[in-house]
Amino acid sequence: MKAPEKTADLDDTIFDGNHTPEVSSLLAAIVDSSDDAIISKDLTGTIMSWNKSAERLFGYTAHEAIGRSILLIIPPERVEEEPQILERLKRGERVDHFETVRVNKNGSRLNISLTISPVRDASGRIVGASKIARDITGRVRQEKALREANEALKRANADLEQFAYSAAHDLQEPLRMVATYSELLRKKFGGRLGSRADEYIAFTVEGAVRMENLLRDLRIYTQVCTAEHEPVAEINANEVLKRALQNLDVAIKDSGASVTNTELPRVCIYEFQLEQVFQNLIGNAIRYRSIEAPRIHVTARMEGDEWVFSVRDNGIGIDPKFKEHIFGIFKRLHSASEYPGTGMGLAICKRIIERGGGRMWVESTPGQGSTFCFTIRCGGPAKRESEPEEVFDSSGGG
Amino acid sequence: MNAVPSPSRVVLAEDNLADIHLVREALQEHHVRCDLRVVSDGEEMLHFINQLDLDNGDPCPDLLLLDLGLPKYSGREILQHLLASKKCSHVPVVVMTSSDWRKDVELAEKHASVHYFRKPSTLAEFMHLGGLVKNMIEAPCRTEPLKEG
Repeated sequence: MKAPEKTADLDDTIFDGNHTPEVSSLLAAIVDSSDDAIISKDLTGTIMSWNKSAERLFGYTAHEAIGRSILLIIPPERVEEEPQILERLKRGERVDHFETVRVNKNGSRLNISLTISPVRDASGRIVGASKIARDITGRVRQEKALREANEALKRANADLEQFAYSAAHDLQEPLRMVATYSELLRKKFGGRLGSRADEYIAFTVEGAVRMENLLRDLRIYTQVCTAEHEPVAEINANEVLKRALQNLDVAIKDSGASVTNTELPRVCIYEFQLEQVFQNLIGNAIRYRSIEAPRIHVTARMEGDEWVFSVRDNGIGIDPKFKEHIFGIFKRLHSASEYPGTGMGLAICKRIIERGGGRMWVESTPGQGSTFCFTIRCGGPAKRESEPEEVFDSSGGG
Repeated sequence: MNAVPSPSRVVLAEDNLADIHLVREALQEHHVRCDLRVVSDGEEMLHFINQLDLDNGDPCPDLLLLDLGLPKYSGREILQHLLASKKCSHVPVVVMTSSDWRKDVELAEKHASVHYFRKPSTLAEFMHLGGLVKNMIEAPCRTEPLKEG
């Protein structure tokens, strides 16, 4: 095309009639080949032109439409749109991608995206409007279906979470009776019913306690997403780590573990959830220790717009083929007698981190230790702190 | 006659027989000898507090062991009623619940006089309740409960 300046003046040329016949037919060809309906009207709303796509979309031929009011394609419940559009046009404003409904010759409603621009004559006076109408009925229908499917999914998910929580909670009550009363039985009658009875009672107690732990962890897992509604505040990860270590005090002393850390940042996450993540990861590092005393090091580094935390240990490590498996619910790599636990700890951690928009993974060399990593998005830019210096704890371990 | 210290009055608001029995075990285990009165639903408990407020001559209990899952009126409602009571708002409370809902924990954290006891699934842990009660009533009774009159 050799006349870009002409196409830029398209609006003007249509009405002023001062173009050459070649340009005129070129413009007509462009308009007719458009996939969108292109209609022009004057300021009274009378249709002045009507392209091929308008014929296809609305069902009226150009002959039927030209000279009639634009109300021809506006459904009765939307007639008030037209005066508003005309008002805007008279002020010289455009209407861009206005999503509305129009009606075709059969009376069917169509979802339409409208772009309407004022058309001026040679003297710059607004004399009408060009209207580009795109049929978005398919898209609107798909969007609606998608939205409905999404909502149904959300509801089903919420129901399922509520169900899991309630089940875990309600199953606990009768279980508590089994557990405490089998213990009471042992306490009051142990040694008096014969050794086999003592053994049976012991199995009952053990089973009940184990079930109790499973239910507790299942509840924590389902609560990760349902419990909190208050907004996430920015918290100091150093303080949270300190509290997690206090909770693990006995395990740390008993195992002779040394836990060190670099200066940790302030991050946006629920405080008790981060505490739980630290506590589970460090608790695991202590539990799955090698013959050496556990050495655990916690660090955080900035990568892009998120903090990458890592908890490194010198424990027994994890076979790479189980790298994903260990984050599943009730997944364990060892028998309960080797290493106690419910198999929920890492699942809970991962869920907490993922609910916050982060990721969690493990890097490990069996026999040499594991490093668990997780990411937390930084708070708003106004709150973002400068990157902390890598200050190592005096007790080393880095 | 020498004055004999009157026994501490402990009210247990609990509907579950098995738990009532466990509470008694825990008190016995820690040699907490006191006047234990069991109230088994929320309505009865509200009535009990109201009667004290009307000054029926009875002293307030020294401690309330309150199950949150009471029938008719929940322990939560009882607690609010107690805290608003004319005579008994100072009474220390041990809120007992089988849930570990943060809301329940927070309920206890909000009031200095309210302690939280999660009903545990091991007998040993349940027995700790006896020690907690003993500490809270401070001067455990050295005598068998005395009935006046």
